[in-house]
Amino acid sequence: MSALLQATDLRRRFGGLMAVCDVSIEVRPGEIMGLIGPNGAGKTTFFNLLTGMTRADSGTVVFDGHDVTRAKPEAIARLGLARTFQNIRLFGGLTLMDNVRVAGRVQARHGLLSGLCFTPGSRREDEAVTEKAFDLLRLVGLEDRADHLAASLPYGDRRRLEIARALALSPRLLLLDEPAAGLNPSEKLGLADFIRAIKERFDLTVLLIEHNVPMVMGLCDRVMVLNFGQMIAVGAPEDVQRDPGVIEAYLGGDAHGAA
Amino acid sequence: MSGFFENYGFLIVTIVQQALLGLSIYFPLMAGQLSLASIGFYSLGGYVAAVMGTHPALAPLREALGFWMFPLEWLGALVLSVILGIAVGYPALRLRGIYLALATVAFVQVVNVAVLNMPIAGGAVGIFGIPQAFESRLDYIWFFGPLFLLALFLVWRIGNMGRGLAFFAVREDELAAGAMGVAVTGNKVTAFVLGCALAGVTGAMSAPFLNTWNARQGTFDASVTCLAYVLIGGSRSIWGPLCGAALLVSLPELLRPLKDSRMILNGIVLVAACVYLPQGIMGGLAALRARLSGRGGAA
Repeated sequence: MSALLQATDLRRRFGGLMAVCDVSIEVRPGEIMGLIGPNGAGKTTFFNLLTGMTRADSGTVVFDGHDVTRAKPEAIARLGLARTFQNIRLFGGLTLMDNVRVAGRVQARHGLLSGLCFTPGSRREDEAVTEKAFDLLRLVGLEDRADHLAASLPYGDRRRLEIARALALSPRLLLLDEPAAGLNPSEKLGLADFIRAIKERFDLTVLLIEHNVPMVMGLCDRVMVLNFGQMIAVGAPEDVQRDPGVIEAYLGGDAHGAA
Repeated sequence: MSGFFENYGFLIVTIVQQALLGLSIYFPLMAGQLSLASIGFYSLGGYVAAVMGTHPALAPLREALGFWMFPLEWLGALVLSVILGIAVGYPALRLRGIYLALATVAFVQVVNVAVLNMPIAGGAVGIFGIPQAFESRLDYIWFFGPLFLLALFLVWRIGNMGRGLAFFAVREDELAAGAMGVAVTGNKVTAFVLGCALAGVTGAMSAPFLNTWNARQGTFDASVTCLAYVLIGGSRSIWGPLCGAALLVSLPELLRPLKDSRMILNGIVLVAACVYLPQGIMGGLAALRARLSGRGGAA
């Protein structure tokens, strides 16, 4: 089976810091893949490289048969690669509904002129997008606040809205950057089930960054580990958990001696 | 009543004309772009109309078209504004916030120096004796009024249709907008060019209205005044630019009895508006309405 996403020798340097160093990885259709690593390991930079927000110094990214290494973020999003952000980036001054509708218009064919002329096509398109957005808000349980401003939401609800917004792109691959950060324990448990549910329902492939190791181990089919920009392990969660290199990266160089 | 219009007709038409310039700044602001370039396009649009209205080589065309020469002037200004807007917009809109504002101020200065040195634009004297469209200045409301309604319709419709959301998404968060499939640069340039086109056509209508046209129409001061219409009136309401223009254009007239001290009071009103109405007059009214209807409790 061919990979949905294939990164080859991806490299990005910020001044003297090698943020991502020759990382190659395949994400297979239908899997949930975890990306873990200590703080500053280059996880978010890796996401930014995949989504066109940071340019790679070298290497290639192929998504669904398209070379997207030099593509703009909006072009990559339109191909069906959606993401959330570690530090949640909602459109704060827009309503929940409009946040989702922005993304829901990704395949829209009716533009400015069509809308200004009130063409029936643009009206139907707006209605369809609105309906889909409402369904997504209901999915994440925010439909009763559809007309509130996104900035007014509490933290946990913002994360859910951001996922709803990403799903509105009708993505094939969903990148989640620390979806459990800042959630309380019961919310975290619910999140793992939620991710599994949306994966089934929307036929998604998921790549997620997460610090919560139990959640990663329970949720992911495969896990890749970054440390100082380099991929030090990839494989099934239980194998990665036993990998000496991973243990050393997480617990420090002396862990073996002290244990 | 007729006495009222005789005295204040020019003022009312000027308010609508200036509100159009305010709206031309409002368009790029919808996509979060603070541009002061409008006055440059206003100036150029005015020169297009002034040259088309007075150049001897075009006399046969004017005779043939009669009144229809004016719409042709608007069209000329529109085409020039759109082309120049795209040419300026693509490089300038790579800059953000204050840097974009500075770049657009520079554009206004370039236009100013360029027209001062172009023989066809009449140098420092400018172009005068521009043919009038109407006998009375008041009748120019038939130029500015429909254009104003059209601009209001555009702002309203963009705010209410799905396609318009892309502008607001770019305003709220460029990075997230890109990640959600919104063409960031394209939307910025579109919003910017809409503003340029409106300013250009307003200029083309203003040249006959003001009878003469010179480089003083496109100064930095005028740019800042236009921005003040939007900021004082309210940058998140479609009525903001009209409100701001009405206040700023009429204030010096209303305070005329105070003679020389009126400009001081004018300044005090502006400072007070900035301090006490940070969201502009329309923003202040909206907050007041929310407080009255919210039974005092809602934040």
